[in-house]
Amino acid sequence: MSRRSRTSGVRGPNSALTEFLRNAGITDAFRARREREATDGESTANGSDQDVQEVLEEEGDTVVEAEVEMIPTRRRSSRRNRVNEAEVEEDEEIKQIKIAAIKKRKMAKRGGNGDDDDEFDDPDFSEFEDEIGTNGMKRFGEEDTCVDCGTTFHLTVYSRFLKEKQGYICENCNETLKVRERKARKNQLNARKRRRTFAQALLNKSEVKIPKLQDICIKKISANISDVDALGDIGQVNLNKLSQILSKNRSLNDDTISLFLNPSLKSIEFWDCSNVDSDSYSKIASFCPNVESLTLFMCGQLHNDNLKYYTTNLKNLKNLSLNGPFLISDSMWQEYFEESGSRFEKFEIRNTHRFGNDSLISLLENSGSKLSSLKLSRLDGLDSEAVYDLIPHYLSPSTLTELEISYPHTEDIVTNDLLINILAITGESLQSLNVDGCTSLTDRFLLEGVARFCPNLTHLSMKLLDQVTDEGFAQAFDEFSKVNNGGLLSVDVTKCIGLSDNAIYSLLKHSSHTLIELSLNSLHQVTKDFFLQVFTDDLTAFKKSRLEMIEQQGDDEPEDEDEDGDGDHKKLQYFSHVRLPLLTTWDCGFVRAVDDEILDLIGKSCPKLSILEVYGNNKCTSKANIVDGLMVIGRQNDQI
Amino acid sequence: MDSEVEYVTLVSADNHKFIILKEVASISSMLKSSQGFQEGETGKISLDMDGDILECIVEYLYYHYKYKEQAETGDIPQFNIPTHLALELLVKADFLDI
Repeated sequence: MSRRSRTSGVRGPNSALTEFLRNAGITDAFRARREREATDGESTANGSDQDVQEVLEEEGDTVVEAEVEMIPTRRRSSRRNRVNEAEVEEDEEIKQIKIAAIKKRKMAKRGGNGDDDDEFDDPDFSEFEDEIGTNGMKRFGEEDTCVDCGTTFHLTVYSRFLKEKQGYICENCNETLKVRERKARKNQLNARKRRRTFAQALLNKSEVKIPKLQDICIKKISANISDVDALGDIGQVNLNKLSQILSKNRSLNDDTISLFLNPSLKSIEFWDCSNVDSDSYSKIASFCPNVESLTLFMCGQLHNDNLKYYTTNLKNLKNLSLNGPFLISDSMWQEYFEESGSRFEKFEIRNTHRFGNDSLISLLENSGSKLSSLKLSRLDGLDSEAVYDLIPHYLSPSTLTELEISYPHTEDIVTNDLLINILAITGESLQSLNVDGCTSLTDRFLLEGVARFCPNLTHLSMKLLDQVTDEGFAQAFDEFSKVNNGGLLSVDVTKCIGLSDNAIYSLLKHSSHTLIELSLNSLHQVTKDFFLQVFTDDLTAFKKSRLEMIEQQGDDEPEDEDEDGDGDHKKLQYFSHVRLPLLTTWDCGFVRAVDDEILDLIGKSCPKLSILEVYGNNKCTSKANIVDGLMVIGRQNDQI
Repeated sequence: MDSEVEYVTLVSADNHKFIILKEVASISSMLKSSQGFQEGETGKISLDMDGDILECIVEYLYYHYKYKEQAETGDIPQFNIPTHLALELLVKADFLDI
């Protein structure tokens, strides 16, 4: 039953509850001790297994704490014995704990093994008992010497015991100590607050820095926006900033929206109009008749009547972007396009199920030939493949610069053939292509479409195209590099889960000098070896030996599969060093191969990189060596 | 423009004068660039704003000067501006590029 036997170092599996209790400092020590006391006389031979765990649990703490805690309790308990008989029993328990703790500490000092049961009754114990009996018996009202400053003072109930110095301190020392503690607590709070600001800034992808006076003002104004009658001449940039902040706070409403309207405006952007009602939409048209470009997001209250009003009052409107105009009916769209569609140069519509097949046909008929930008996203009313197939017929050759067809109603209505047909007609002028979520697209779309027809493409977004394969993508980009000399500025291949080393390598080979934004999110097949090679200088021993190994391998069994003399991809491969001089934003979340070592290498090869997202890469830790100016977001240790 | 001229004087429209460190004034790229011209010789810069606005701006400039180094640790107090001046201040801050 002795506690000595617990040093065997054995610790069984823990349940979650045990773990929790242990963390909360709750143990079954009291009960065990009582039990032990009860049976103490009878048996001393057997060490109980349940105690083994308990000791180990306590060990870490008690070694440190025992020293500081034993004495106060000792004194206190003796005091209390006098004062309050009722607490005696509790104190007994505490005393027992302390005794055990001391013994354990001593044990630990000795090496903690080979002790046997009898030691419980060893001299330590009696020594301890003696101490209680003789030492530290100062009573209240008696004089004591301050352990801190050495002056003599009267001990009172309020005197403070210093654990680390094992004695009482005088009133003055106590005061200074209190001040110091208060400061420490304040510092701790501040540190916590600072950590929070940092974590918050990290989430906002911004750095903690001195705010500009303009931003301070804008914050103040947006907080008091309801009291503002007119904004006056604060500059268009600040106006836009203010309207964006209001949108973000969702405080753009009927009152505040009118602050931004004036007759000279040519371009209006409101990013969150959810609190703007139908009347205010009409106000836009009546206050700003010269508007050429109108962007309204979250415009759920935009009504048929508003659109009708726009037909007659916004005679110069050329660019219209709407997100969520689900009150506008199919027939209203057709009417609107017939009236004013001929002026449109850019048209963007997202998130409405009422924009149906006939609406699109009407749009294409009336403005298809002039459109330079067409964005159709999440339009569940467009459910006919045949209607999509009409798009290429209405577009004029080489006019479209931006095309987005993303998240169609069902997978099979946006096909390889459709995209290839569109690109065949207008691919030459196309700069931005977005086919997010068109999951039926395969390698053919890249090989026969993008790689062949898009010499001027700079932005490519193809999220969720899981049918695109590694080889297909690699091949397409090798061909694409013959057509497109400039290189891409932004590429988003989030969750194209077929892609792996070869695909990314040919992408980087083609666009490494121009890439500014890159997302490889969730490409779990990309290997660490690939990153290691791509971001290591070709002249290093590691790369040279790799090259030699591959050459040897090539001699043994000639491979004809890959270009660049790369070996079979199941065996060793060689990737030459890639620099990304312009890359600023990179999302490589859930690319599990990325770890601290890779982070370091990335920093060295991408001098301009400022934001790197590594969500889900649990091998990226706080220990990573990160270059100045690079913000790594999403590591597990970034906590608020 | 001379290293010996360490201070510049900002003069508001209603003739309040603020004598501030040149280095502090240089936080505003507009004030910095005006040093090359006549203002550089006289050490005086007349600004088209009221005294209370200019006071706020000078306060901000010194705030910026004082906490520039500490900003990275995130341990700086907030800069408060009077609500009724916010709009006007925004215009002037825009003008001064701060």
